[in-house]
Amino acid sequence: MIKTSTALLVVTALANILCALPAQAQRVFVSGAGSDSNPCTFTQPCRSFQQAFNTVVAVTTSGGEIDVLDPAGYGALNITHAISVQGHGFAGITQATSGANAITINAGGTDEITLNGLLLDGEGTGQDGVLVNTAGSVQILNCVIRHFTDYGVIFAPTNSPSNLLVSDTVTSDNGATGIFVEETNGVATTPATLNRVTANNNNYGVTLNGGYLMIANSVMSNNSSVGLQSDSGTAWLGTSAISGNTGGVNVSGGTINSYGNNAINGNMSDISGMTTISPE
Amino acid sequence: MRKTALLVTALAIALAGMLHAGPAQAQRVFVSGSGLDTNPCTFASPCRSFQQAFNTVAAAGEIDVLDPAGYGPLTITHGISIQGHDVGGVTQSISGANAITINAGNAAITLNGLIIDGAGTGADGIDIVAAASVQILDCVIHHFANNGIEFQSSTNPTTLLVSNTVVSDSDYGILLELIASNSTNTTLNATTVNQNNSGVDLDGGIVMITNSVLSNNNDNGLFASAGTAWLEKTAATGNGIGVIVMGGTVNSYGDNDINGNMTMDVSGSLTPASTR
Repeated sequence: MIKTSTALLVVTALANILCALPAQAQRVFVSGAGSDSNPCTFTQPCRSFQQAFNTVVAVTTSGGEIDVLDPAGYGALNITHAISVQGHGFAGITQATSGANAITINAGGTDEITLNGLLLDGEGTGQDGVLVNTAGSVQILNCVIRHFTDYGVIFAPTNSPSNLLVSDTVTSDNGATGIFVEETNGVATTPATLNRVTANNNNYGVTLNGGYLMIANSVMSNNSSVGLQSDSGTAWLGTSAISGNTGGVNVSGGTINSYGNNAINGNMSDISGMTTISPE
Repeated sequence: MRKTALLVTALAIALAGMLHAGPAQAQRVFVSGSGLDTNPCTFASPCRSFQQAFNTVAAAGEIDVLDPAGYGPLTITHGISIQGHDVGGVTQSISGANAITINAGNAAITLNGLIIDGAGTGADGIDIVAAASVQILDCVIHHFANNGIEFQSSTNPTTLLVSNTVVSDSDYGILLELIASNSTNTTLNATTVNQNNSGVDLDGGIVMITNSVLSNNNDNGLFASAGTAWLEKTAATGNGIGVIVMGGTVNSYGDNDINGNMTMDVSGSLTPASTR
């Protein structure tokens, strides 16, 4: 005769096993026709990025993936762990609330975040397109980030090291800076990299205020203050075009090293304070 | 009794006014090939035409294209972002009419991923009459009787960015005109201007042309009658004349591929410029 207490223990344990939640999905889906009461599967997608993020597996370092099924706006997103967001070139975030961001990243110090194919629009009132406070690495690929009051991208990690790659991305019409890199955490950091980036019609195109920044194959044009600005830190500039700005390249502090192969003309003032070094 | 009736009537009218007030304009609207212009332009009930979507969306809002279709000519009169996702088309076959006309004073305009076709008879693909800034990204603009892109903005200053775009089979591919003493700054990056009569025509203002191709244009790849051009890592080939400098200045960084043109490669003089 089994003791009642033992039986109860067995039943409870069994119940726990049977009622345990399914492992969180590695891949979740959002759709303009989705609903946030859905489980975010392909056949039952969610409606918002935040709901999808809260549903996808929360592992450190590599993270799961959010897939966008069709063109729509998916709402502002707070990223607190590794994630790959695949917008496929037609996923939007509109952030028209003053002082609010489209994407804010406060993740772990080794978390890897990829943002691919997103269209972020501040409509002239949202604050930042992508704000990075803490992350192991952030890749911003194939995005259009426009019309924010402050920064298209502001990379200001409080942890070190922290990596940023921005590639094949347009950042435009932002009130402060298209891309602002501020690695001021003291310990030597690896350079942020901008490759095939176009910073157009911002107040400042690209600004470096601390840390290291490598810019290749990029265009900084028609920015109302300066195309490429440094306030501190070290930047390297190669095979890029800087034109139509009030100031093309301006060094207020820190260093901007040019490889001597950039087209810097057609600005009211082309160059101030830039150093030239040799490519190797 | 009368006073009460009047009060009630007044309240009723006020209430009716509030209830009938239109909803705040949407910041994101949708068009679909299966949409209807009687729809509210939402994701679930998209409109059919760009113009209806434009008239519905709030200023500085976004028009999203849901599927491959033609969405009709569009006149833009306030800030807008049009996301064609490389499948949104505009066909304008009416002689003298434009596909897209931008007359938007101090606004910022982004046109991304559109396929704009003049069917051989439409006037301009994109006619910029007034704007603060225009970005034309990832577009195909072709078959216009006048200009693929005409930049003649009366706003001072105006900036134009054309990136990853093909402009072809038109009379002028890209016509950059200076209006009065306005400041215009144009950047052509990774842009292909092909098979027009005149590829890029500079009549004033400043243009930086980088990583681009000006090819197979009957008359010229680049023609400058005034203004200042900067030419970098760009190929001009298969044109009648590669580059014509009749007035203004065409600066070359010495890293352009200007060969294989029918009559001559360069007419007039390129001014050497140094990369830095």
